[in-house]
Amino acid sequence: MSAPDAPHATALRTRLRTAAARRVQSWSKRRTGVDVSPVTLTRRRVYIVPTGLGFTYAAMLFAMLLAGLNYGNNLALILTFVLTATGWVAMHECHRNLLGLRIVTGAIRPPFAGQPAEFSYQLTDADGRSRYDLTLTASGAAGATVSVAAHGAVAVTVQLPTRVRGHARIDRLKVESRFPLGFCRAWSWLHVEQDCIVYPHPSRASVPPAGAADSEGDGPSRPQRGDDDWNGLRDYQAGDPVRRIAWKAYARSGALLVKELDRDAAVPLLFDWDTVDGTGTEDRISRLTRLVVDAAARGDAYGLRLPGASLALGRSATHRHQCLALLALFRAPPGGAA
Amino acid sequence: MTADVNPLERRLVWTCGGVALAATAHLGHAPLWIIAFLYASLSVRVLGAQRGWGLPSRWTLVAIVLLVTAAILVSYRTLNGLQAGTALLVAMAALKVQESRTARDHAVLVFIGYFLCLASLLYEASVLRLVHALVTVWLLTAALLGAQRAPDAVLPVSVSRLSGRILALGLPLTLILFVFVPRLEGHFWALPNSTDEAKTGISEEMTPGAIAHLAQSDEPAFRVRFDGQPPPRELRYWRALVLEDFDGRTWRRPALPLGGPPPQVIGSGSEYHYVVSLEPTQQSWLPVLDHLLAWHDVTAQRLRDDTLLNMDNVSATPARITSLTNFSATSAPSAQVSPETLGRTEAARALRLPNAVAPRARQLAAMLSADAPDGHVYIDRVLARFRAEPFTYTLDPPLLGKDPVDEFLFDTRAGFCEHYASAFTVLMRAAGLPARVVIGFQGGDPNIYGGYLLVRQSHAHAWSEVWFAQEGWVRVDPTAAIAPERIRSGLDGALPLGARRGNGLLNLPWVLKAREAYDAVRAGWNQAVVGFSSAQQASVLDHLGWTGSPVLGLAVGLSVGFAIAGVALYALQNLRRRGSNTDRVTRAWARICARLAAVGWPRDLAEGALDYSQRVGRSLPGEAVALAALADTYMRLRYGGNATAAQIAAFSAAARRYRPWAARSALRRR
Repeated sequence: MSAPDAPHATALRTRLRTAAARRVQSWSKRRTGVDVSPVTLTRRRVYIVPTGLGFTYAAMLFAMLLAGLNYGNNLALILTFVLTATGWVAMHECHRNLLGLRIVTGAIRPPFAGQPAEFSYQLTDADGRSRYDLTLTASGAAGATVSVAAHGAVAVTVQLPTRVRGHARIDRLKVESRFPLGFCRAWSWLHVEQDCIVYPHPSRASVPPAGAADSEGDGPSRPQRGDDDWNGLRDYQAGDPVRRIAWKAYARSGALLVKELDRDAAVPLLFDWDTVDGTGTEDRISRLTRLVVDAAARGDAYGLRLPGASLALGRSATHRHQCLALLALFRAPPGGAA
Repeated sequence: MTADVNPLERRLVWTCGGVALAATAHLGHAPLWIIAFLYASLSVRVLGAQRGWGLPSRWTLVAIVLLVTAAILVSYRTLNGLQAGTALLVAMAALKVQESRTARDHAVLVFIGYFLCLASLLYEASVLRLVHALVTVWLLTAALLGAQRAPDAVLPVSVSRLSGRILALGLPLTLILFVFVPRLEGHFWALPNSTDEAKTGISEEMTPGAIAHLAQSDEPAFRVRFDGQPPPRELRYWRALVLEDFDGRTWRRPALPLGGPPPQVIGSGSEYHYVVSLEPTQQSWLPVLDHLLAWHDVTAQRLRDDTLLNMDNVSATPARITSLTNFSATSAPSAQVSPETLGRTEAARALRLPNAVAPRARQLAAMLSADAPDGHVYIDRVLARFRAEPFTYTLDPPLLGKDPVDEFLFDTRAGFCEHYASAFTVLMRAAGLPARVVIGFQGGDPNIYGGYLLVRQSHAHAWSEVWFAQEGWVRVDPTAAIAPERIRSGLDGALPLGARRGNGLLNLPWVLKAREAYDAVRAGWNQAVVGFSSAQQASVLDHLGWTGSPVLGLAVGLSVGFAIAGVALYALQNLRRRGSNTDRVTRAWARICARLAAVGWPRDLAEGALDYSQRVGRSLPGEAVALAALADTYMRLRYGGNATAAQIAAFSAAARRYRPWAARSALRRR
């Protein structure tokens, strides 16, 4: 092959390799179907192949065998056989390192675009033997390597990088191990099909809630008051800022209460697509995201209005997620904004 | 040690330790400078890893590689063969360690270590070396394991334990492979010439007076198992080589035509059947008792068709004996053999004496043979003269000069078997009797534990043969005339007390017994392991009832054996282990949970020990107290830290004893 063809050939080889890999993966998926957590790694789904080091080792053993046979030296042969058996046991141990491992898919924390999406998993051993150096990878995601003690469980987070708002998906998770001697690589594919919403990237500038559609119209100039100006206690809800928990009340009664501020009730914020500044769809989305994030951080009640969808006032974590998800998946109507 | 040190650098100690241990097996025969070079390199690297020194540059390494290769070439004049190959391996390890950064580099070092173990066994197939090699393999495998672990993995188990476990689990397969992998009946390639490694007491030529001290080795030369009683000591002459060409100083082996017929035996001396197990000699003779009648190969290893009996009643193989070799033979040591006719060329060779050699000996021969009626009388006169004159037997004879025969006979008069055999043969030739020197072994120590005769290197001996028309070649041992104890009771008997070998400690009766037992073990090991060959494989197949072709039998044996080894591995892998403390506590608790689950009270997956015990206790008051105590102990041991072994053992025992009686009776009522 001449030199100018070389890049072409490399590209071809890469294409062939990815095509082959895809074939194998879809075959493995047909074998097991889409996996529902928890997944236990059975013999049927643990694959194993020798590594380059394994082939080197095999070549070494072959050379030793020839030398031992040629010299008619049985002790040299014993050494060769001990090493052969070592390689063979290592292969079985490598396979067994994955076998019976239980994998539970855990929480997914939606990221803002640009941050990695974090998929967490729990690896559990139920067979009473320690598992060593298990590497979890998902397509395009940074792997994490952990060991699991006998009867133990370990949480692993796989980070999937994101660039734009929308979805982040993990179709296939790979658990892999070369333990103990690196002669073999055992792995299993989990066809988990996990989906995660990627929130839009909040704009950097802190946007004053100019579009706050409070009927009184005094939004920005609303007098700011300190946290001490509270007018009552209510039950804690998930998402309430920690600093507003009434610790003294907690110490007295044991119930988690939060201080309710005057403005909570007084000044509802409604963020509207039509009134927010911005140079384009993404810019507006970014700004709205910033408004939602800030309002949620302050503990304000807020609502969101987009073309074709709106969310009423709310303050809870669920509400924040709903708002951000709406923004994440928003598609501008044709010819609409900008 | 700082935290940001590459963890592989810390694990380097294991790899370097393994390689260092592997190299100790070569301390005896590899040149000292190269071993020293390796140890220096390993120490520098390990120290450097701790102190954070940098590695040498690529060019420095290339320069050192060239230098070391050149040095090895100068030492051995080749890079081929076992010795140069070993030196090269050692050098490779020394250089590789200087550039090892990755796990793969560690693996290469470990593989070099494995090869060093193999080379050590090719040098000498002894039990001790095998043990050394296995210990080294264990350490090297632990090093490989450590290097292959994830870089940031804290090592929760000791790699040495894991390595030992892997080696132990491999034992069944090792055994199967040993028995069923077909052995070769020849060589793939010619073995490199290595006569310099010969450890035998016999060399292929003899120069009396050239060495001032005869090194004596108690190492075994061969072992003989007789059917019935062995012959008396004075008949135990094991012939190996016949030396006929003499140039005044050195006796050499003539280029003899191989393949002469065995001599015809007349009269019936008692016959002896025996099996010889010969240690590798790197030479091509087989030791047999005098007057060999028949022999056949036991092991079918290397000797099959190519072992020949030559016309001097010497067994020889075209190939050198490089591994343990077994053969059986029949001899009649005291029988008369039929007179052969000595051809003209043979007679001339057996009489040849260079002109200028030994003038005084010739005069003596002329004087002694002047009025002798026949050769036998002359022989008796010569031997009588040896006895009458102040000849002594010593292992430290003075060096001899230009004419060693005359100097020995008339000046120094001190020497060992070689001196006497040489001088005697010269005296025979000078008197016109065809004579020659035979070298081999004389004697043999019975081993009561093994029921065999052990012939050591120190039993090496030289004697003469004189030809008579009516009797053929007749053995005459002049050493027996000087030192009959040498023949009757072995070497030590022939030496004055002060010159006996070994100190008193080694000759204590129980030490001798222990050494005898040790040799019996070695002999058994030789038979079962070292000498295991295609013939033994055939007999194994025979025992297993296989009647087909041996090759197919071995193939079937290997496949079935693999399956059996697989089942054994599975069983061994799932053997309950003691495990770590945490493991043991968890296992004990799991046992309690399993007992309860069996009677209908399983623990929920998310339920802690306390919740679980309380839930069960509320429903089954009969279990409440016992279970609460167990759960409490469990949590203390599992999460409380610093649990003692005794506490854990007590908890394990309590868990084993625990029977949920209340739960069981509740189940029965339901």
